[in-house]
Amino acid sequence: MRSWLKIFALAALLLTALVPARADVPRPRDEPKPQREAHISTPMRIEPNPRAKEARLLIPRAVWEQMRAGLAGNDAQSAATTARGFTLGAAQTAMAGLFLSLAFAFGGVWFVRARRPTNKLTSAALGVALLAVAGGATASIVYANAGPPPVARSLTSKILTPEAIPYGVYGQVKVELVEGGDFITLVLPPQAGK
Amino acid sequence: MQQLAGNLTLARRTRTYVRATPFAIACLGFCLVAALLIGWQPLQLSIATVFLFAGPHNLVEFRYFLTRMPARWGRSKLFYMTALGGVLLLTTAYVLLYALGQSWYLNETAWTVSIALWNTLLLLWLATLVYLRGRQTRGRRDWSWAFAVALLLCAGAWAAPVWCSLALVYLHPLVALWFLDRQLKRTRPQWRKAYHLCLAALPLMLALLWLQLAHTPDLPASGDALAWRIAQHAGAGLLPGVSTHLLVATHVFLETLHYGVWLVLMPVVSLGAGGWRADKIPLATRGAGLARIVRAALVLGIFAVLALWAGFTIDYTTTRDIYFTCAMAHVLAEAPFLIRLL
Repeated sequence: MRSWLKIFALAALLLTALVPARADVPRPRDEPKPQREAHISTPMRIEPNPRAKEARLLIPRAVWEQMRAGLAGNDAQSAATTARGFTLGAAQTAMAGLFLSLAFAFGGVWFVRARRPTNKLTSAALGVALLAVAGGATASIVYANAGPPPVARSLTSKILTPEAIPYGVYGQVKVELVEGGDFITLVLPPQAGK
Repeated sequence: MQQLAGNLTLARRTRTYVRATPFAIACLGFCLVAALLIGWQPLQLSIATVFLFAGPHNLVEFRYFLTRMPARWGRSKLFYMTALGGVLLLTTAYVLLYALGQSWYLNETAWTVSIALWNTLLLLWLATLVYLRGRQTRGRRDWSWAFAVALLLCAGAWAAPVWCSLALVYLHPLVALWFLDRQLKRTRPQWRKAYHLCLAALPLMLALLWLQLAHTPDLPASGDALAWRIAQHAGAGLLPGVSTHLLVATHVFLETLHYGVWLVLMPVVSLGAGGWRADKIPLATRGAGLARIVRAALVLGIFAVLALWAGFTIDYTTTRDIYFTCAMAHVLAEAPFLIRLL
């Protein structure tokens, strides 16, 4: 009975440590929320540049100022709050990890102390079983389908081919503010930067 | 004789059924009407409910806590000292944090760390209270699991401090429902089944409310500081993809249930007709001095409610901000008294 409980507890611990995995799946497209976003309309140009080493998004200063003005007041504060909710600093991560470890340590000590030498299913074992079920249910949310092709995983001039259209594309882009000009330019290198 | 006893039991059961049914119908009817009205005009009803009921419900809660507080703490001394000390410390820290945040004295990092620290203290305080309560139960049960749960939640509080604060906004109204359940168990056990039926219907009502409002446009908040604050309080800043109409309606609906429980149901099931007589309060029976203090506190409470109404009339937005900051005291005070009922 005791060895069975140990195996059960270990399995529950492993299951609860699992988190929903999103294996290389493109992020869902955001629904536009025109009423809440600071938006401006501006012309944009996509420019394949054989000399470029990396993808660059050039935003004219004038356009940038307009965007900032649009974010002024309540929307700016709202955006700041949203960012605050999602960003995780190093100290926060460390503290979260510390408390998570302590939680497991305290939970383990309690579990060992609460164990009774009986053949009946104890409340502790029932608690572990519930955790296992919850963990298992959470772990089942796995998106392990194939990811987009390599062409759609970096911003190069190759994205302008029909092959990338079904997936959309994503990749790193260097955002720069430039003086002069009145439209945003996306400069695309011939191949992904090293 | 047995037949007579059987008949009496049957009669009592029938009477119980008759009493519980109007209670369930009234509860469900109130929830349904509240959901419909709030779904229709959430912003206006948010303003109106806070104006009318925020102060009085605090007064009733205070009166209830006075009733639940024993005249002599005895072996519960450590529990009550931890409880009251925690309420005082955490409320002071919260008000200070709010004041510093409002004056932009804290930068974003300092604010995030401070709120995470506050949440951590709150969770550890709650775990300590649960643990102490376990030691007072018959058989001195080991409730040290509370620390494991609290530490797990602390990890969440550090990973997403703002989400933790939002959770408190939405979970606090539900605490009143738990209070009512524990109180019914003590004083009106015959209503409990009907009450559980009402509780089971609550998620359904919320789901209907969400289905109805999921695609409604955001509330018109541009240029209206009060509307913007109400939406932010309901989590609009953290959930930009969700309609503020839905968020505000959900929050107001839960708050309305909270007010309803404290203003109507709790006095009915716990305080009774002589609810406002100070001599019914255990603390007041301990001596003339304490009796005077209890009476003075109740009178002060009535004046506080009147002052709050006056404040709302003069400057609703500022008073609402101040109220929701200071109201943290009653949110915290609920915890030890609920734990005592476990």
